[in-house]
Amino acid sequence: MRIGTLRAAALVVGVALVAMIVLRLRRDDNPADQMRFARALRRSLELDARLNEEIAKSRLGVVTHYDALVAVGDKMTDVSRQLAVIPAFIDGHARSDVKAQLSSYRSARDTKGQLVETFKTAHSVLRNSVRAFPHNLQRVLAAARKLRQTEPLARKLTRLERAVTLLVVGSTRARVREARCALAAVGVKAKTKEKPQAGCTVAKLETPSAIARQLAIALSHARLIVELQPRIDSIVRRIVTLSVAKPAMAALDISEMSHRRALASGRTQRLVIFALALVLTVLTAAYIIGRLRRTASALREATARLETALAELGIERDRAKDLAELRSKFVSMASHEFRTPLARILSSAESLHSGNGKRPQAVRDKHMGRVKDAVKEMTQMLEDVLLIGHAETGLLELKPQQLALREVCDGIVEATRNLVGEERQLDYDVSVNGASVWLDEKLLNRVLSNLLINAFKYSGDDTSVRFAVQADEGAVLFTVSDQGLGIPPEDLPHLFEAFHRGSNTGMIPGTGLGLAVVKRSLDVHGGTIDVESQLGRGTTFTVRVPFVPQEEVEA
Amino acid sequence: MGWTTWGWTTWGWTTWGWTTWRRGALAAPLLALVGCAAAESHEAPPLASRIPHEQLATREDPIEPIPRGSSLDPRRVALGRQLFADKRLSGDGKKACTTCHDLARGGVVPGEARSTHPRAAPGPYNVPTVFNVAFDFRYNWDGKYKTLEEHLSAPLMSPVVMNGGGWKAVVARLERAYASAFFAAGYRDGVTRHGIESAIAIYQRSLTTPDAKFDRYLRGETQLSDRERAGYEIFKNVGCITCHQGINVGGNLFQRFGVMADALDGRQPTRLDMGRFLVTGKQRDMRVFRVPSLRNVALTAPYFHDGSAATLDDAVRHMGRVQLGYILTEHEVHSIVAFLETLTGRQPGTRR
Ligand code: HEC
Ligand code: HEC
Repeated sequence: MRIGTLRAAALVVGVALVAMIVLRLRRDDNPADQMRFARALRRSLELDARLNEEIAKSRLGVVTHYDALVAVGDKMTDVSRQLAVIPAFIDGHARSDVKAQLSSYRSARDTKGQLVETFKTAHSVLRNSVRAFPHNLQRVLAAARKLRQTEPLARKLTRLERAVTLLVVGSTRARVREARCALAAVGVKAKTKEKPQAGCTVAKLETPSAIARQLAIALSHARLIVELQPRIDSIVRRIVTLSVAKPAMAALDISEMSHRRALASGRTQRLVIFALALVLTVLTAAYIIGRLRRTASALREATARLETALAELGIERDRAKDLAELRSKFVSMASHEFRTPLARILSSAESLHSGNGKRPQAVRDKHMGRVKDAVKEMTQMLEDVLLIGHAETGLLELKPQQLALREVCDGIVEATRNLVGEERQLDYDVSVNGASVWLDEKLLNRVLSNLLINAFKYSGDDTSVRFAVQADEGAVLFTVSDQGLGIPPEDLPHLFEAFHRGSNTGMIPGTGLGLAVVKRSLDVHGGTIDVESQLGRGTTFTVRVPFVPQEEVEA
Repeated sequence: MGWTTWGWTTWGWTTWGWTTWRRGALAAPLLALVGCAAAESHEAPPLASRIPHEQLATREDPIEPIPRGSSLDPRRVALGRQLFADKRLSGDGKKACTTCHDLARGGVVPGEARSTHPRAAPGPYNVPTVFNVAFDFRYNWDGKYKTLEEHLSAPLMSPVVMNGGGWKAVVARLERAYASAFFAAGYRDGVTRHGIESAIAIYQRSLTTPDAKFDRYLRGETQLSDRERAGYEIFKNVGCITCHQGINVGGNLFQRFGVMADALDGRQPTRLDMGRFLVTGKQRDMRVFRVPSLRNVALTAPYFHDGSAATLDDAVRHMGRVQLGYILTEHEVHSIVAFLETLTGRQPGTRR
């Protein structure tokens, strides 16, 4: 389960990582872009300053050609072409800001370009007129001096010369007005921004024909100066004040800010990518470790299961082996133990038969008794075998009934005495007079008679067997002690196994079923049996059978 | 309008940086002069501004020599040369650029006024030379085009010039005619509009005429004759130099044709006499033309946009009268023409 979560988390982080990387790659905070853009902007500032400088130089005649102006203009065109591509890192709001600044830069530059053209055109003409006018005027004045009645004309022309000279030095408004009026006084209208002759006295000039042509040229130079000088000065002023720099500066600021922002966000992005990569690595590692651990535990489980299976298989095999053993033991036992009573039956039957009824009654009775005993013995053996088989397959049934303990025990003792003969001594000690118990009589019978017969069987004829019955806290204690062979300690663990016989039983016949029957019979009663034995000294079996008091059973 | 308004306070120290400042150090007093001269309420301008224009002039000559050598890509120049002489550019396959711009003869078809042009359908204007176009700031008489690349479409597609029939057709014709390897040597994409424009423009930029006698004189490599030097002095003193200056002796400003007098001498003006007005539509651009370069002018008769001056003498005389209001004497005219002849440089057409 946790492994699944890990894998899902790793997948999510991986997708996020890829997305971030794609975002990062798409993002364009390339320093080269910024450098190029900023350089172009800075260059535009520089070129603007250059242009102003060149205009000033031209205006003052320091430079007498316009190539430099043209060159600056061309470079500005180049730069503005470079600025046409706004780098990708300037985005969103900043982009439209930069666009706006650039467009105002461009329009300022265009205006400036037109102003520069106008300047060149006006300036080249003005320069000539400024230089030509005094020469022309001097010539006119010299010619006029030779003529008579030219005093008023000369005065007007001198006024005009003064006015024009002052104007050339610097076109203040007063000087422009004075120059215009001086022109009006000689009958020439100058096309300036102000009304041509406002506030001036206009006079028609009487011109002697001898100097008319000369004068006309001089006056047209004067007119050009009056028209062009203020215009030039205003153009220069406009060029110099029209700052291309301001929008370029603003664009530069925005671009630098954007770039810084792009870099910062790039930094965050890089950090996020790094963090994601770290998390992914950790998750992957955890996942792999988890997988390994899970595999290991699964392996361990499988091994355990295999082991149990193997163990079970072993148990099965053992049981199968046990059963097989049991069967073979049974077969060997049966072949041996059954043969004995059968042989006895056979021999008695033959004796009876061969006598042809001529045998005495006592002999016949003896043989008949033998046959009966052998059959009984065989029946007993068969019952034992059956009981063991039932117990082995869980079919042994308890059929309890109300028993008078004393009578049952007396009966068993009686039967045993009959079986072993009067000569054997049995100490019979009963301290449960009148007690009535709820037990399976048949099984109880078999337990006790087996124990008693065994006790006699495995002890010497001159020894006695003790049989005691006593009550003990809801149970009956039966104790059977003998002074016989005893049981070797190595046999004790197998004492109650079917067909097992003590290693010291020697030639004493036996099926090896007796104690097994005892044990299984007690088992179904919930009883226990303890053995105390000293080799060569004797054995004591203590059987403890819980009994249900009569009242309780009846209730 | 004082200094401080548009001086440091506006532009600021940091904006300009050091290099700008250094230039600014020169510009500052000049700008200050202009500013003061322009100041409306300044009754007593500082002494410097009283000095008349020309006296402030430095030793900088108004004319500069044409540089020798070039840094143009020779493969593109070669391709452009081929294209420039290629009749397949034109719609009828009979005209090449060289039909009108004969490189062997000053980049024009000499002696031909537009009305008597024998070989080609008469172009609307007198044919200007293609020499030294690299130094012109605009192209055509009215200065309509800013670059040679832009300009190419004008002759190529004009029905009266080459009648190329659209770029697709031109490209298709050239694709058939040119081994793509030859074209690809200059332009990786093969025959394209961009490649054609660029190659021809680059070729034309290579058509400079360095080492004119006057240029060598400027470099101190040779002496002018007395007459030539006198002509140059007159050219300067009379004022031709104010319009015809710079590296190309013209070609860097617009100017009215007829500043001091009617340049058409009473002839009825036609559409073509409107000059720059045709481009801008502004009244003040009426009869304003790009001042032509005077380099190789001795080879490019007839003169003026309308070809109205058949000889250089006529053109010079006309200029003096209509542009300067000055009647040049014959002696002055000859001196000026002698000077103008020193502007003839090494001809690219003969260098092949
Ligand atoms: C029919 C004659 C003719 C042909 C052919 C011709 N031109 Fe021209 N060219 C002219 C005329 C006329 C002008 C002036 C046009 C004007 O000013 O409007 C001119 C002007 C030019 C100019 C401008 C020169 C200047 O100083 O402004 C260039 C450059 C030029 N031509 C290149 C070419 C090229 C390249 C070709 C070949 C594609 C070509 N011409 C073909 C007649 C021609
Ligand atoms: C005010 C500016 C100006 C002045 C000053 C000026 N020119 Fe010109 N010049 C022009 C213009 C504009 C043209 C072109 C006119 C046209 O063709 O329509 C021109 C054309 C010429 C041409 C013809 C070039 C050609 O290829 O067609 C010559 C030659 C010439 N000028 C010489 C002179 C001389 C010599 C002087 C001095 C006496 C002079 N110019 C003064 C503006 C001027």
